[in-house]
Amino acid sequence: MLRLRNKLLPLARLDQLLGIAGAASSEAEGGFIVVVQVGSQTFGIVVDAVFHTEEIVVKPMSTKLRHIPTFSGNTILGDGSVIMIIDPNGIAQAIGAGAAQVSEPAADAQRAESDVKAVSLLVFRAGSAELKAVPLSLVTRLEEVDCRKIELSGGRHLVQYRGQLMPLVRLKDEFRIRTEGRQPLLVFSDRGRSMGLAVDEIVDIVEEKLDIEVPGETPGSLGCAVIRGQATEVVDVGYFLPLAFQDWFRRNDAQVAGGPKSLLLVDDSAFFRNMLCPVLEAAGYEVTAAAGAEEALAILKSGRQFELIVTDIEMPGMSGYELAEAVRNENRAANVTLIALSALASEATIERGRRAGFDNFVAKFDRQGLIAALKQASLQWVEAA
Amino acid sequence: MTRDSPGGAECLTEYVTVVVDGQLFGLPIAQAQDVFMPELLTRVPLSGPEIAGILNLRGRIVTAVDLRCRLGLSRRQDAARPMAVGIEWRGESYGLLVDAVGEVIKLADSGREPNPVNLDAKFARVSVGVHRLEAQLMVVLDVERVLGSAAEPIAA
Repeated sequence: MLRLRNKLLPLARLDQLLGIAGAASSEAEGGFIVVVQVGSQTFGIVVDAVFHTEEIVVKPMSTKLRHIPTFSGNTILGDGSVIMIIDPNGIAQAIGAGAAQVSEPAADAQRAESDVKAVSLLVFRAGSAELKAVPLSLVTRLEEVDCRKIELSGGRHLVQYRGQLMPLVRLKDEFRIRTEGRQPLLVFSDRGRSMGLAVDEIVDIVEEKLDIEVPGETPGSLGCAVIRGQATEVVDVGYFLPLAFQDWFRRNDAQVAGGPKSLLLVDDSAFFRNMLCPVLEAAGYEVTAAAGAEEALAILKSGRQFELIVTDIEMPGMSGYELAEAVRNENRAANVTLIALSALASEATIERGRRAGFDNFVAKFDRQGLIAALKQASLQWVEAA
Repeated sequence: MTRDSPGGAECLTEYVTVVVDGQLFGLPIAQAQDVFMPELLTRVPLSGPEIAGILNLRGRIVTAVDLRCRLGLSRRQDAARPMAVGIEWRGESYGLLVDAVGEVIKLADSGREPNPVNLDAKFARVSVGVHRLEAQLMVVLDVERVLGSAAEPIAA
């Protein structure tokens, strides 16, 4: 058992589960714990070492091996070697019912309520001892590259990564990219392009309600929030992406046919407004932002016309559902396309959204899904015309 | 390959011969894909004893089955490197690990005899007959018997 972030975490030794534990390993204290969540059950798998992350295609196991519940498949890695893929469900079964009882139902229920606005944040350090954070959903991968592979070309740091040259971006010019050892990177990928944000250290991944209390003053910073009781600077990834590729947000497939469409973005969180505005503007929309349903209705009443309204559901005061109903009852705006954004995209909430008059429901962090939903809406207009 | 010889109606079958623990076996060429040296074998914990591991053969994942273990023979000496015969069976790729691969020989089907009663039972389990060659007996391997009956997990 391990106490991690105030929760007891059942541990399973992978070598024992696989029946390959040597006599020495039972005493070995080193190693890593991979924290896994299967359904409501969270547990840790003890391994000897962690190498790196790799994207793989899982191939089914041979029929002769399929009876082993610990593995879900196998694959060939980039270096040609074959590895087995661990099935967390199989591990959960192997750990057995004992682990399931460790869950703390009261605490979980309490957390579920306060989790309504919780965001997974990746906390890191770069350039100073201060903590910094980005929403984990924006990060594609965490990597460490060998510093000898970092090349300087045209005044920028580049690394050959998965068959492409990936620019490395620094949070500040003063930040020194390491020259020896390994350089940790946060990799952001979008439609085949990647950039690496060089950091000193990845500290933790936390689930926290994100309240930016002090807005950022410098470009690249959304502001400061209290995360795990510490003031943490929330980094604006949207600022750094164009530093890697100037046209990051301006690529063809996101463009809207037939001129810019006006869009009203409603979200009480400054963070999400700041994050989505540049994305939507880059996709070719004229974006007006509102900090709540009341403000949105006031804008609509003033006579402004919008083709699209993208709104958060969970907002203090008037909810996104109520906003949708109000918009649908308003004759002037009855034809507008309504898209709901929610961190809680369950079947029930989607059904409720449909009844309230939403045309589409997109998970809050699904940027690609949002762009796709918007494109679909614009296609419908073309057909209707 | 079973086909008529140019001379007459006699049917010939080509076999690739392999040796396991000093015993000569023949595998019909029609059932063998290729012969290779197994490299970078990844062992599979919790698998049956006859599973030597899985390996990458030209981009395909091949399950290596050790014929020694399948026959219940002692393990190969560490220094001795096995050879493998590639087999495609029920849509999957297998490599049958053997001590050595011999040659390809063509034998008349008429010369094939049923398993003699004194044939070692562990060989008889995987064989559909024998050929009496000049110097020795060649046990004809049947892929269905080698891989098929072992497909079920072996209770430990």
